[in-house]
Amino acid sequence: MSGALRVPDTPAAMIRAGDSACAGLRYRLDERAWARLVGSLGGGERPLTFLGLWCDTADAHAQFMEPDGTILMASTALESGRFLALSPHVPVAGVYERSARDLSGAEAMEAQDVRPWLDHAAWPAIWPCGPRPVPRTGAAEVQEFRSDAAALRRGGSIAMCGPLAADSPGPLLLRLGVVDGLVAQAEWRGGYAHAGVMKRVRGCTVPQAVRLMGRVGRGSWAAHQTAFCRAVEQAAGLDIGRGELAVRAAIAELERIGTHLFDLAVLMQGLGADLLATALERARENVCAANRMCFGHRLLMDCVMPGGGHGGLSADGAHALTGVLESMFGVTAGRDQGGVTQWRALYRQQFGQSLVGVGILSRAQAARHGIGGPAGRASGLSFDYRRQTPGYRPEALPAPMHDGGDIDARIMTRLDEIAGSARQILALLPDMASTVSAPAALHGSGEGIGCAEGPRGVTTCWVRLDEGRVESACVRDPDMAALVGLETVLIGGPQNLAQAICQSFGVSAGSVDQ
Amino acid sequence: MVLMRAVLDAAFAARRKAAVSRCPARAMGVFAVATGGCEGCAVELAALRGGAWGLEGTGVVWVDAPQDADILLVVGVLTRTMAPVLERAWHAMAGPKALVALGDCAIDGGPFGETYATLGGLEGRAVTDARIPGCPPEPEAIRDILARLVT
Repeated sequence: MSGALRVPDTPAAMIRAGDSACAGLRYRLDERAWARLVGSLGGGERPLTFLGLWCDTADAHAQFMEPDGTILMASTALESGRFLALSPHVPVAGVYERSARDLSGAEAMEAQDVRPWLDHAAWPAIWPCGPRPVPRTGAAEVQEFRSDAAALRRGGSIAMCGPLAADSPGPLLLRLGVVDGLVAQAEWRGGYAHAGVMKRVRGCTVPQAVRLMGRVGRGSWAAHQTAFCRAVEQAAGLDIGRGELAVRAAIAELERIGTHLFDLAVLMQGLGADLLATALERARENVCAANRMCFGHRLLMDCVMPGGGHGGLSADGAHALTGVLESMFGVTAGRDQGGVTQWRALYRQQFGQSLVGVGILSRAQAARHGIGGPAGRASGLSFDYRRQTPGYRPEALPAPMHDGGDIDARIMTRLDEIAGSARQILALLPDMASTVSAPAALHGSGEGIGCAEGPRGVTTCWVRLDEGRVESACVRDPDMAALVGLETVLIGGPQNLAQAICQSFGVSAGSVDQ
Repeated sequence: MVLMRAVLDAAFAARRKAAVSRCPARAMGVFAVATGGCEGCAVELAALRGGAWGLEGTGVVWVDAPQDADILLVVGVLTRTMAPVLERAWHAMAGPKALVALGDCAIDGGPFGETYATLGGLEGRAVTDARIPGCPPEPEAIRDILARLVT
């Protein structure tokens, strides 16, 4: 037997070598171990996918996912309010570091970008979530953007699309440097939609927190509530039954169908494909009506609670759902024709191959930024957290078929996923009838992490409960990674297709800013 | 925040009725500003604007700039950062003009309430000419209240 200590040589092993703060989930690293972890995050093939970074009054927390879907968190104490930045090795961490500084004053040492992200000098205090908020004395905001010199030297111009613009993707600002009609530089500014969710949720009871978590960002309302519920169930040691698992899976798939239809319709409207846009909007309306009939809410908000609580799907509900899925999407166990097939044909008839090669997110870029969901799958990343999620029929999950990474691949991937989700729900119907669990009353303390494959990728929630109330929580939405990735994807593309490229990712301002 | 009161005063109402009676084709322009939150209201509003719902005959038309609008529709919880943006939109509108809060968050802050980041809703900060409650309100409810405001 060797007496030598084995030195951890992978990022995951480095995290697990820390002191366990929550068994198997979160580990505390000292300053040196954190620095070793940060140093190991560079390089080509990434064994860990970065999910998010948050600071509270005492610690910095970084969240990662292993290739098999296991989530790991590393925490380190803020030393004099500082921690070593991840952004030199993980670019998407930069926006989280800027946010952390705005919210709590935590300083990411060696960060390459220290400009504000959330704070527009409109809040009554500086560092409102930190240990010592400082009253603001009325200084006006001065927005800082990256240098325009390179674009201007080449005879280019600057174009801005702000929160009031008709083609804005909500309260966000996109600034483009344009040379000869092509985008030479792209930069987002967020913070307009920041609603302080993470501070607001502290002290909430679990039902209050579920409601708030269902209002984090567009199109992933149920996904965020599900991730929160799973985190609470893990913290409280709650198990839920097979029927409830099936109901949650069905709700997730209905949300995916609705969000994909919405995102595709917005994209088609923007591209002037009114006929296809209307067909998609009408299909979405039918899904919303079925949602309302089966679960009580068109957008599936507040349909998931810790421990369960859904009464199961009635025979009428199952009949209505089957009718919508079969008639609208033409999907049954043995064939796939009708709606989705017609939409594919309509799309191809109108656009041909014109969107092939436009707005390419390469596989390497998707991996580098941690972009999953349909955008990542359309770039050749096959990861899908549903394969790790209990309650699903894995054999009914579609395998990604398109990997071009362009607008065309993102459209076709979404259409494939709509058909796949419809098939999945039909396969789950027999399991859903057996649901009779009651929502759990939660009074205990503990910590947990929940995860869900939302319509745009992996949503996670880490929560710490204290006697049935939320002491602290962090929410990860996939749109942040997509937003950062878009700054690269837009470069080199035609300015007149920049809006379509953005819409093909379906980024939501609320999801990014929270 | 000094958000101007939205005035749908008697003069405006009389003038609009007169305008409508003289010119039935006269439509009211609606400009929507997403001011924060989960965008559920924005999604339902987008559904109403899309092909699945019709606004024909209601007198409501969507406009892309506040300068062309008669009605300013506030969508979502009002963040402190969006408040001056909303105010700019309001000042850009020629009078007479109306202010409408769409959804619980725009009305009173909903689950977000009033915090360092949000002002809550318009309630108590501005006089609104109509409120469309719900979390989010359904497209039919939005259509009905907007149509009622116009007639």
